[in-house]
Amino acid sequence: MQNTRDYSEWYSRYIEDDLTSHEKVVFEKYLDENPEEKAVIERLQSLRSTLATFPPAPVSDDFETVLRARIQMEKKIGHGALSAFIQKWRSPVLGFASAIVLFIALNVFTGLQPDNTTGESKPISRQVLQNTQTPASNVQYSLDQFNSHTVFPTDIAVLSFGQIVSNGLSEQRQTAVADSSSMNGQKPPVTVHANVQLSY
Amino acid sequence: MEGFEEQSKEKLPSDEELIARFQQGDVYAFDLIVKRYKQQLLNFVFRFLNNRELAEDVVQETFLRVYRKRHAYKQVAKFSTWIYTIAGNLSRTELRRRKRRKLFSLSDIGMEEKDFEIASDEFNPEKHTNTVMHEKIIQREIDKLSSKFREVILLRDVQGLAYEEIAEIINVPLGTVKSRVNRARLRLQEMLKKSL
Repeated sequence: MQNTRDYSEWYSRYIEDDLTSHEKVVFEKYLDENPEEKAVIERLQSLRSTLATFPPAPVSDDFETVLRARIQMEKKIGHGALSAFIQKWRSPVLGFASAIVLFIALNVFTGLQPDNTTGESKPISRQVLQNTQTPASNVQYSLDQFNSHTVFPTDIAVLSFGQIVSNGLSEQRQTAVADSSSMNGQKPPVTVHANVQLSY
Repeated sequence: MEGFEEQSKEKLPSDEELIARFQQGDVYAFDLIVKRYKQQLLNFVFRFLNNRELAEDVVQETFLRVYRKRHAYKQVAKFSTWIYTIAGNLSRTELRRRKRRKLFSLSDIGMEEKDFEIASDEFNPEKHTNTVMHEKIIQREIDKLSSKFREVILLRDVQGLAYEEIAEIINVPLGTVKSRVNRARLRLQEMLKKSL
């Protein structure tokens, strides 16, 4: 009678001599009845002994020197200190970044609303159009000028994010992006340079 | 003399003692760990990635992690299990990265051109050529195995680790490891039957 039992899990156990004596007798009987399976066992045994004697991969002569150098470099850079610093400040930094994102999103959102004080929200775009062709040296903008705009609450917020407001426009070349949403989507974003140049 | 040798052997610190000394600030203990493990880790990683340069990088990174995270090691596990886990994780990450970038070059497909020293007193050129060829073919077929099969067969048959330790290293049940090794061997011999 043909033995139909599944011996597939026994191959490794057999070559590692891990079968019980009873299992071993049963399995050897099966192998005797199935010469092709006996050949598989022989190949497995040969493979196992070949793998066990695989020659070692050569290690570079400077392996330890390179490793020491890398450790020294880490010590200098202070990988541990850096990690600790990141660990310590990660939450505040993430909080600050979130606040900025929220701040910008809020500006965009409020900029989409029509200006309540005048009923329209175009002065800055008008001004941009007026000054696009003006040489930078001829025009000075000040905070007051922006203050006078009817869309001030939205635009000044964005401008102050670019640090123009606190320093005054004439001190440094700094850039801010005026919120295009304050123009009801009519105009592209406006870049405002200190000292003073307005352009699209 | 024999007694002296036995005494010297007895005095060799265990891995766990070395890492404990290192945790207490003894940097020399770390050097001993590197000396003890660099060859076997390189063997494993090299056979896993089939790229010696990458393998050395991975092994270097493994030791750097041991250096950095020395206090994370707890003596509940064998040190060898811990270091092999680190090396295995890094190797798998490297393999995934390599697959993603499809950086397989022709030199990666087969073994590198460097031959290896054969541990034999009498050098037989014909035998050497056959052995190297044989080894290259086996390595090429190992490369074709899935990373799951490749890892267990290397840990078991090349590195000679116990099934229990392999189970801890790859974090799967013992029965799964045994079954996986068995299937990996059967798959590999089937592939080699066609190649050799």
